[in-house]
Amino acid sequence: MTPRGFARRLASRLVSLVVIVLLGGFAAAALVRYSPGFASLPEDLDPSISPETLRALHAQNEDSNPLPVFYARYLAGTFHGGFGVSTSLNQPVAELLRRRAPVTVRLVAEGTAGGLLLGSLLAWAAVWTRCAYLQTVAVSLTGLFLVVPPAVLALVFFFNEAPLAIAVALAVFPRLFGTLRALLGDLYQSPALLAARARGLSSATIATRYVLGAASGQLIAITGVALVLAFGSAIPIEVICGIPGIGALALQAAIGRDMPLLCALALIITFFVTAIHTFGDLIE
Amino acid sequence: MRRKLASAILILVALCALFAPAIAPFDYDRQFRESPHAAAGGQFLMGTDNLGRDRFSRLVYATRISIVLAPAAAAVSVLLALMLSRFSSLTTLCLSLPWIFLFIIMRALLPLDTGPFASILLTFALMGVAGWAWPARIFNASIRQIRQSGWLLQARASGMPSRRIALIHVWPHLRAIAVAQFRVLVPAYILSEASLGLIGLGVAEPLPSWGNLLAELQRPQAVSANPWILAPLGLLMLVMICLEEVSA
Amino acid sequence: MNNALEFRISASYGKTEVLHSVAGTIAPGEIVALAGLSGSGKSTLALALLRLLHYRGGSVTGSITVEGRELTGLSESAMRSVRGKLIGYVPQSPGTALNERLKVRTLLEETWSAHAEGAGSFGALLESVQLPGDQVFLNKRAGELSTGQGQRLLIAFGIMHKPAVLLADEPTSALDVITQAAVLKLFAELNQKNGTAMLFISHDLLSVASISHRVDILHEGKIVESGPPGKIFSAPEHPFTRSLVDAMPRRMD
Repeated sequence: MTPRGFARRLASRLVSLVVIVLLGGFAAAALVRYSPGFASLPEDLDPSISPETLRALHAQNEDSNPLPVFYARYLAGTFHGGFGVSTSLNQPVAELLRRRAPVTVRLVAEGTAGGLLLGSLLAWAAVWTRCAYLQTVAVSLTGLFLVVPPAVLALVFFFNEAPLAIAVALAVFPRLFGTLRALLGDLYQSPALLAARARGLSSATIATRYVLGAASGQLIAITGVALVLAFGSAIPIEVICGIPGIGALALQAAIGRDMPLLCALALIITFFVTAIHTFGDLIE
Repeated sequence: MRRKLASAILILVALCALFAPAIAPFDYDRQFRESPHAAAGGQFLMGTDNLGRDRFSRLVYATRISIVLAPAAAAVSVLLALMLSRFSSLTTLCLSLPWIFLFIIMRALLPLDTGPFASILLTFALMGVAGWAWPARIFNASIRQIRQSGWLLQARASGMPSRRIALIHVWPHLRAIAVAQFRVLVPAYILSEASLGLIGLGVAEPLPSWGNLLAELQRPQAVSANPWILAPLGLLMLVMICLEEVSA
Repeated sequence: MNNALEFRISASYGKTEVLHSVAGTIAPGEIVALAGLSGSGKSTLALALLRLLHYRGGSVTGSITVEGRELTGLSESAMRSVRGKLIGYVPQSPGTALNERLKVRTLLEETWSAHAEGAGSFGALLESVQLPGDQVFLNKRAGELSTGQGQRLLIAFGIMHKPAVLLADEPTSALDVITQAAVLKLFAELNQKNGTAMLFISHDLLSVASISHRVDILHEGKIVESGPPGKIFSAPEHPFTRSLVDAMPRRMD
C-alpha cells in the first residue's frame, strides 16, 4: 500500500475509533438509565427504612437531566480530565481508576503472555515435532482446559495461593491453540519454507525469518484476540478472588447504579478493545 | 466409536433432565433442617448442603435448567445475529465491549427483587442478547463472500428470481453457518453460566443451576469433607467434552 | 432477419473505463470468438451484456439488442426473463460457479423453473452434453463433480432454454487439454444441431479459432481487428494481433 493510502486508512480508522468509543460510553449510559432496575436501590428491600428516607434517597440518586444532556456534560467533564465523581463510592472516578487499573493491566498482560506462550508451545509440539505422542498430549491438554470454567480455575489457584495470572493463562491458551496450530501448520507446508529448506538454510534462520517473520502479522492479530479473551476471564476471576481491579469495580458500579463510573469504564474498555481491533486491521 | 459414546452420554444426561422429578428423591428446595452438611450415603446420595438440601436432587434439577437454557440462549444469539448481521457498524460497536462486561452490567442492573424463575429466563436471555455480535460478524463476512461468489452470478445469469436464489442457493450456506455457530455457542454459554453462577450473577437461589452449585467450591474445607461437592463440576466437564466430541 | 446479438457498449468501474465503445454483431447460427489478453476486459464484456456488471461494482452505457429487442432500459425483472432464456451464459471455472452445497438435480430443476412451467426432463439435455442422466448423478452434490463434469453441467444450464445467443466466458480455461478439445467439439456440435449463435470469449486464440466463424481481437478495451480466422492468422493487420499470432506455438519444421 502507498504511504498516502495508508495514511488515509489510518485517519479513517482513527475517526471510527473515536466514534465507537463515544457510542460505547453512550450505550453504557443508556443501558444504566433505561434498565428496569435503575430506580431500585438496595435500601428498597430493607423494611427498617422509612418511606420518606427512601424517597429522599431516590431523589438523590436520580439525575433529573435527560440522557443526552447528562452524557454531553459528562463528556465535557471528561475532557477536563475529571470523569466525574462516583456516586456509589463517593470518590473521584479518575482516582479510583488510577488505583484499580494497574492491578487488572498486570493480570491481563501476564495472563496473555502466559497464554500465548503455552498455546504456541503446544501448537509447535503438535505441528513441528511430528511426534504422535506429543500431539495427543497437546490436544488433550487443550481439550481439558477448554471445558473448565475460568472461575473454577481461579478458585483452585486462589486457595493454593498460586499466581492468578496462571489461571488467566490457562483459560486463554486453549482458545488460541486451534488458530496457532493452523497457522504453524500452514507455515510448515508453505512453499517458501520448503524452498528455504531446499537451499539448506539453518534451522535458526528458518525459525526466525520464515516462521516468526512470516507469521508476525497474524501473531499480532492473535495477541489482540488473546488480550480481549484474557480481559474477559479476568473479570470473574477478580470478583471471585476479591482482587481490587477493573472487573470487580465494574460489578460494584453496576450494582450501585453508578452512572459516572460505568460510563468511564465503558469508555476505557471500548477504547482498548477497539484500539486492539484497529491495530490488528491496520497490520493486515 | 468415541462419538457414539459421547452422544449416548449426552442423551442419558438429557433424559435425566427430562425426568428430573422422577429421578430426584426430593424437591430441589426441600430443607432437612435437622441434617445440614450430611455426609454422603444413606438417605442422601451425595449428602446435603449447608441448608440441609439434598445435593443429588439439586444436581438433577440443575442439569435440567442448564441443559435446556444454554441451547435456548444460543438460539437467541444466532437468530439475533441473522437478523442484525446487515448492520455491520452495530456489530462492530457491540464487539468492542467484551461480552462478559456487557452481561455483568445488564444483569446487575435488573431490579433487585427479581424472582428466581424470572432470574433463570433473564440470565439466559441476557446471555443470548449479549452474545449476538460474534456470530453476526461471521454471518456478515460470509454474506459478503456469497455476494462475490461465482455461483450467485451464475444463478442470476440463468434468470432465477431473487427469492428463489435466496431460498435455494443462499439459505443452505447461511443455515450451515447458523448450525456451526449454535454448536460453538452452546458450550460457551454453559461455561459462562458456570462462571456467572460462581459470582452470584446467574440463576438465583433457591433454584439450582450448575453455576450456583459450583459456588459451594468456594469453601475448600467443605470439599475435603464431602468430595461430592465436585459432582456438578465433573458433570459439567463431562457434558462439555461430549459436546465437543459430537460436534467435532 | 434480425441479428442474434448486436451491441455497442462502454463499461467502467468507478472512474476507470475498461471497455471503450466496444461494438459487435453476431448473426443467427454464427460463432464469434472474442480473443484478448487477460485484463483486456473480456469477462467484463460478458457480464455487461447480461447487464449483471453492477453486481461486480461496474456500470455500463450503450446499446444491447437481442433478436432486435433492446435490453438497456429494461427493468431488473424484465432482464430476469431475458437471462437464461434469450441469452445463455457459460461461466469460467465450475469450481466457483457451481454452488457446491446443492444437488445436481436441484440446480437443474431451479434453472428449468426459472423460465418454464412444470417438471423438466433432463435426459436428452444431459446426453447432449455427454453427462449421465441417472439418479446417482442427479443426486450428487455439485461439489463432488469433476471439473470436466462441472463445466459440461454449466453448458447444459446455458443451452437449457435454447437461447438466441450463448455467451461463453473462457469455458475451457479450467480444463485439461483433452477435456478442452472435447468441450470445444461439443460447442461446435451444439451450434450445428440447434443453430445457437455463440460469443466465445477466450485468451486462447488457437483453440477457439478452430470452431469459430469470425474472430474479434480485444485490446485495451477496444476491438482492434475483426475477420475470419484464416485471415487473422495469415494476414494480421493490427500490431497487437500480429504479436498475438507470433506468440502462438508453431509446428516445428
